[in-house]
Amino acid sequence: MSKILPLNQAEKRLLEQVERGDKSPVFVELPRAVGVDILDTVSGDLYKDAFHVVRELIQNSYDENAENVELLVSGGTVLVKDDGRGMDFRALVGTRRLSESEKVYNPERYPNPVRGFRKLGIYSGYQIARRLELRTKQAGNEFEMTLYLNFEKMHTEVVANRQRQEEQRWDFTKLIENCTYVEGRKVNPEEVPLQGSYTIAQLVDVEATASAAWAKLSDSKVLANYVVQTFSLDFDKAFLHRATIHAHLTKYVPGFHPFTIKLCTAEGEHVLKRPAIADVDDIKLVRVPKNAKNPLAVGWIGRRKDRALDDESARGIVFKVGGITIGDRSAGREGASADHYYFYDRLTGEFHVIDSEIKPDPERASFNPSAKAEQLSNACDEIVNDIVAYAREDRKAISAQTSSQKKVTKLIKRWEALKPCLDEPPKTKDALIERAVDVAVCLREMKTAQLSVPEKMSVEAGKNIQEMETMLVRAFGAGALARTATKAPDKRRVSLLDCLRREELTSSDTLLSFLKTVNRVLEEELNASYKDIVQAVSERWKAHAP
Amino acid sequence: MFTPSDAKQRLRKIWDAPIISAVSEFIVKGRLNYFGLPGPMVEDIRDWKQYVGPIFALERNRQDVASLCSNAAALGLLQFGFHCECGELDDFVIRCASDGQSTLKKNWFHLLNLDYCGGWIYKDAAGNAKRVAAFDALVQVQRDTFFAQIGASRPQKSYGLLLMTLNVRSDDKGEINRYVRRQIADEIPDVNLRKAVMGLPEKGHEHWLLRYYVMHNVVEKMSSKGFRVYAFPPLWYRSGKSGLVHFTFVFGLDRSVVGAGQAVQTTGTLLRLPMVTLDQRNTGTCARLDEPLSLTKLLAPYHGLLPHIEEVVSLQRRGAV
Repeated sequence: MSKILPLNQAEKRLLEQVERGDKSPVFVELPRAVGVDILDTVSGDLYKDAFHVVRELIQNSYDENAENVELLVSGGTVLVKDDGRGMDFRALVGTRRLSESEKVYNPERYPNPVRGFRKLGIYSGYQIARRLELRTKQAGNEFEMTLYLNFEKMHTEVVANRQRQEEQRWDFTKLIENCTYVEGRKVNPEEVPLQGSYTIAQLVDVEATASAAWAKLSDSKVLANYVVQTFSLDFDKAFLHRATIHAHLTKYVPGFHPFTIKLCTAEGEHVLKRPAIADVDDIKLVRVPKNAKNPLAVGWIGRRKDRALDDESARGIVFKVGGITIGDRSAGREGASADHYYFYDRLTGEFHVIDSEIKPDPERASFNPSAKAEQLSNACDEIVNDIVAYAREDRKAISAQTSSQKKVTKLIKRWEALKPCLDEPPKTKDALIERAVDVAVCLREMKTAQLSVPEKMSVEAGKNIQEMETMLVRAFGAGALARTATKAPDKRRVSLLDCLRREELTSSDTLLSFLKTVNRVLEEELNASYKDIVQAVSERWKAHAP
Repeated sequence: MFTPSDAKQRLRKIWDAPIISAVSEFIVKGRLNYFGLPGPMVEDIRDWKQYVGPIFALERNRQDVASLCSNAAALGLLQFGFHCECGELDDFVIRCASDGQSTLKKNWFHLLNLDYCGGWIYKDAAGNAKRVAAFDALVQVQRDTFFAQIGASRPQKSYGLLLMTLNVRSDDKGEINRYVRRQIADEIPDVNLRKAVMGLPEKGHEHWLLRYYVMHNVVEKMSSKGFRVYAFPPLWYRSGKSGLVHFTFVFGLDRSVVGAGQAVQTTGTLLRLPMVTLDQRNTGTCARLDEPLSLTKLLAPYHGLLPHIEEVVSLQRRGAV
């Protein structure tokens, strides 16, 4: 149910004033009287890290459906511009409220309800900036409005308030009335398109207000890394599974949309995207718990089959709430049992929490304890455990594959050595027999190994098999036989090659049976002298057969 | 806060914008790296937005930095890169010139917009003209940046545009006057021109003196560092009570040129360039500028044939002056 009330008379008058371009102090409505010291508490305790302040600003952009965000850290100020929906007057003025956010009560505009539950983000920069300016324009509106929150004045008043008599002390409402104002301005349509919308949040004079925070924010590499790890940014287009993941998350995570951030600093500009994780062999799209009708979370898990992912920062699975990372990359780690802990480093992925009862702690380091949070954790462990179990099977398969690969390589070399001999006419019967046996053994082993090697190598083995068969045709097949046997009793006679093709040649029994067939063919079609050859081949074969 | 005058706005549109467009389209063949003082309202870049790429903005007043950044963001100027520093231009450039890690040294700037509020020669207590020293340092930084580029993608030649606006009122203690009458006049072989320069009245013609001095000084300083410089005719206009002269130079550096750059215009040619007067009500004492210049049309026949910048940007070919 929406708690947003229609504009009252005072607000309507104010809106008119703002649209006329007046600079006016703005009335603020709070649900209850709150002391001004709350600012010190919330900003000091919750936003100790300058990066968390930036996170709040970017998260607001994400919540407004922004697809492109520009983050400027320059000239002592921090500025976040987005191409989101922008805010109307009510929303802009309402941002100053504590505890109550439209994000909670307006599911149509803010579909993912796991956000905005503290409604403190706007004051996150209270300790590190002189003021916050929120400049916004909605599509189709020729006015842009700017809300100024003068943190410096608030500080002064908070200190002064402690000296005041109790009955004269300001409450939070009075503080905001005196330290914030809104300014309206008509935009030039030649410079800013009427249909354009944006919000610009700027923390002014961070460098002069909090030099330590500024120093931290000025390290563009660290900041860029933080942003990439924290937000659900778009993947680099080279990432093969990008479209699959986006489609899955867009379908199941309300409000999810990938976006990009352009970081402008003294070092230049960088478009921040999540990197293409090149060594992910496959991905699994998951619901948590497994196959649940109303899942607590949905996500994806990518896996490298043979070893840990090369990019250490991509290893492990992470929880996301409202597009923001919660904790480190260790979601479901317990699922990788202790003796197979290293399998976890082959995984990468995300669990996007969609159940509104699971809430992150203020630090975004973990979840507030609850039955559902516990259930989520266990279900994630279970999913990871299943994947690790598959991984173990894969390891066996990979091990077998590796041995076959080695064998095929060896056989190809052997065949390369045999080939020139086959082109030479045999000098003796024994030489002919020896070649036949060598090729037969090589061919049999190659055919067996071909079945368990990767596709690329299998194709190469196939080429060699074909070549062997062709050579066998030349040496022992229809052509060779035809030169000897001028009168063929049966036109449907089978060549040696046909025999080879027909037989699986995977066991000594089938090979012996194959040789018997050869024997029969030769007996039927060739003169007796070949019987000796066949006999010899049989004997030699027995010696080679496993 | 510096409030732009109507004349200045008009100048940006009808004079600077076509030149910037031509430099962007025909010479640099891309968006221009900007360095300068756009002011908190970003007035100048508003008019040149489509030709400007990465921006390095300097703002004198700390309280105006926020407006500058916010306005730049609202105008979409962050998209090619934006960096802002707070400081006085001359101090900043001098400081950066001696700092090996300076952000100023990271890029070759195609568009140097030095929109000074004051004059060219302001001497400190020690008698040093800081602005001239800072300009020297800026030219050196550009040169160092050009030659510091390595690898296959380094350009053989780089070009740029220097826009400079100076106040006629300058407490130079007569130095401009002396310089013009002694040093510059000595370099003029044309007797009639020399007589004209020498005979220029000191009072009431400060803008002429400033224009002779600055054009000669800038070309000389840049040439001595290997740049080839082409000067456009200067413009004179009023902003409130101040008289301002706006200078436009195209410059280029060639990797194969060692030592001083070859002169494009002789001192005589420089001094003969007309002074265009831009007035809100009554335009032109020396030339008329009733409509925007069509440099694009002007330059079309030269497209692809132009190894030398002087051939690209000869305003005199236009016949308007």
